[in-house]
This record gives sequence, structure tokens and C-alpha cells, in this order.
Amino acid sequence: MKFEDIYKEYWQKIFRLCMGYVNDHDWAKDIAQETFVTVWQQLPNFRNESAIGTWIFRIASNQCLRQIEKQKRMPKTDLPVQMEEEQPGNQQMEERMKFLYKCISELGETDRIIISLELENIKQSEIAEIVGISETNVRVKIHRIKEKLTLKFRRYEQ
Amino acid sequence: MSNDINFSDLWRQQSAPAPSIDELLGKAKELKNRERFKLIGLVLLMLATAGFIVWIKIHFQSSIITTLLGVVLVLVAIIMFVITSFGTLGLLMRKHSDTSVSEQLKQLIGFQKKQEFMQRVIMSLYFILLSAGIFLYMIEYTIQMKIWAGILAYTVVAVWIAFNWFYMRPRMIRKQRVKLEGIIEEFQRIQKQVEETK
Repeated sequence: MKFEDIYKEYWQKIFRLCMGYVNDHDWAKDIAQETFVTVWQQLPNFRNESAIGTWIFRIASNQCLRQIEKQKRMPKTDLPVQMEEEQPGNQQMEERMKFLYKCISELGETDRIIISLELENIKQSEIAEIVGISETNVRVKIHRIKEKLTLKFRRYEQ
Repeated sequence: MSNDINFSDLWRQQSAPAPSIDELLGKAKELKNRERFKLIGLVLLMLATAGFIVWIKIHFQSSIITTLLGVVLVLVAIIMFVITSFGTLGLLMRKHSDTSVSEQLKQLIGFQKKQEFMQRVIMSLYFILLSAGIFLYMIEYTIQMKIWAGILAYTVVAVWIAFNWFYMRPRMIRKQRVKLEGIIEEFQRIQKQVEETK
């Protein structure tokens, strides 16, 4: 697979994963870029041992974890600032979306990665492979996280 | 509790324009070059220092073994420094970013611990060798001096070394350790999250 194709297909997905992790637009963009730099560097060594998507998501998840090494930036849980003009009809949707990302970024680090992958419709067996835990545990985790999120949404919308 | 909120749909509302691929690849190449220059620069600096010492040795013919021994010790210190720096950088480059998250955490913790050890032990060793080398190297020249001048020369060097050893070195080690330990603790905290679910 050519790098250009990978980049086109995965940019948004990887960006969302990073955004769920840090909830900061610029920071997430930086991590996504770093991820693709690594993908570009390591693509010649990729040996199809796992699906390319799994491989890329692993690199991205690890890149997120490594943010700890760069302690200059602390995780933000504020609502991200969006520059784009909002259409009135979409405003509520936009608010809910922001709230979702805020809630996710407040979870534990591994939970953030797990739920982000789940919402990206990655198979649970693949999530297990990316995170390095069993599929059963992935299922249990996802269930618990969704329950937590639903609860927060209920409170938010009341 | 009903589960009718479609999180996936909300999730996919988020997007960011992708930077142009040329911009990205430019950044990637620049990063690669910067790493390479840093490495080459480090090696050149060390080689130049070593070359300078060898030049002194040849230029000022000495008659006692301690001078040569001093030069050798300093050289060993420098070479050791170069090798360990290479080791660290090698490790940095060989970081496998495509392992699973739990494996990656193990690697990162291992890497940080290794780094902590290296900074502590290698820096002390480097200093001991360097100081011993300088002391030995000075013998030949100080015995030709008047006794008070010799004592003065050694005292000045000893004070300088003591200042570095007792003040600068612990300070640097402490500073690095605080930073590394903070990172290790964070990684261990996340590792616990993974292990709890295993």
C-alpha cells in the first residue's frame, strides 16, 4: 500500500483517536502528524503480520502514550476552540460532539484508546491486538466505558 | 439504562483538514536529518577532543609513564562517553513503535530506567576517569616546578574537580532523575490500568 493512500484513508481516523486522547485540536494534530512520520519511516519494514489498520492504530496509540515524555504540554479537558463558522442547526450536535470528546479525554489513558478505537468501528479482536489485552476484557471495558459515557450524557442533557 | 445515544455518529463529527503530504514528508525528512547531524556532530566533537590529546602527547614528548597513562585514561573516558551516547541513541532509534500498548509501556519503562542508570553511573565513571587522567598527566610537568607551584597547580585542579564532583554532578543527576522518575511513574500508572484488566 502506498503511503499517500494510507495517509488519505487514515488521517481523519488517527486525528480523532488523538483528539479523544488529548482533547486539544492543535496538540492532536501534532500527534497525528508524528504518527504519520513514524508510519512513513517504518512502512518499508511493515511485513503484513497484522492488518495495516491495526499496525497504524498501534503506532498512533503508542504515540499518544509517549506524550508523557514531553511534559511541556499538559492534557487539557476544556472544550476545544473551533474556528469554523457554525450553522445554527448543527450547533446542538456540535456541542454534544465536543462534550463527548471532553468526557473521553477525562477517562484513564487506556480507556481513552479503547473507546476511541471502538467508536472508529474497529473490530474488538483488533482492539485487543492493539492494546495487548484479551478480547473478553476489551468487551467488558467497552461496556463499562459506554455506561459511564451514557450516564454523563444523561446528566449533561438534563 | 437505555443505550440509545449514538456515540459513533457523534464521534465522527470531529475532523481536521489533513496537512499537505509534502509538508508532512518535509517534516519527516527534516527530523531524520536533524537526528543524523546531531549524531555526527557529537562524534566529531569527541574525535576532535581525542585528536587534540594525541597531538599534545606527540608534540610534547614525555619521559614518565604517568603522562601517557593520564592521556589514556582521558581517552578511555571520552571513548566510553561516545559509545554510551551511541548506545542511547541506538536505543532511541530502535524503539519499536508498532508493538501493542501494553508491550510499549514495558519498553518505555525499561528505556527510561536504563536511561536513569546510565546518567547516574556513566556520568560518575566518566568524571572519575577524567579526573584521574588529568591528575596523572600533570605529574610530569609539576615535578619540574617549584614545590609551592606544584602544590598550587594541584590544589587549583583539585578544587575545580571537587566543585564539579560535589556540586555540579549531583545537581545534574538530581535534575535528570526527577524528570525521569516522573515519567516512569506516569507510565507505571498507565501500566497498572492495563494490568488490572488483563
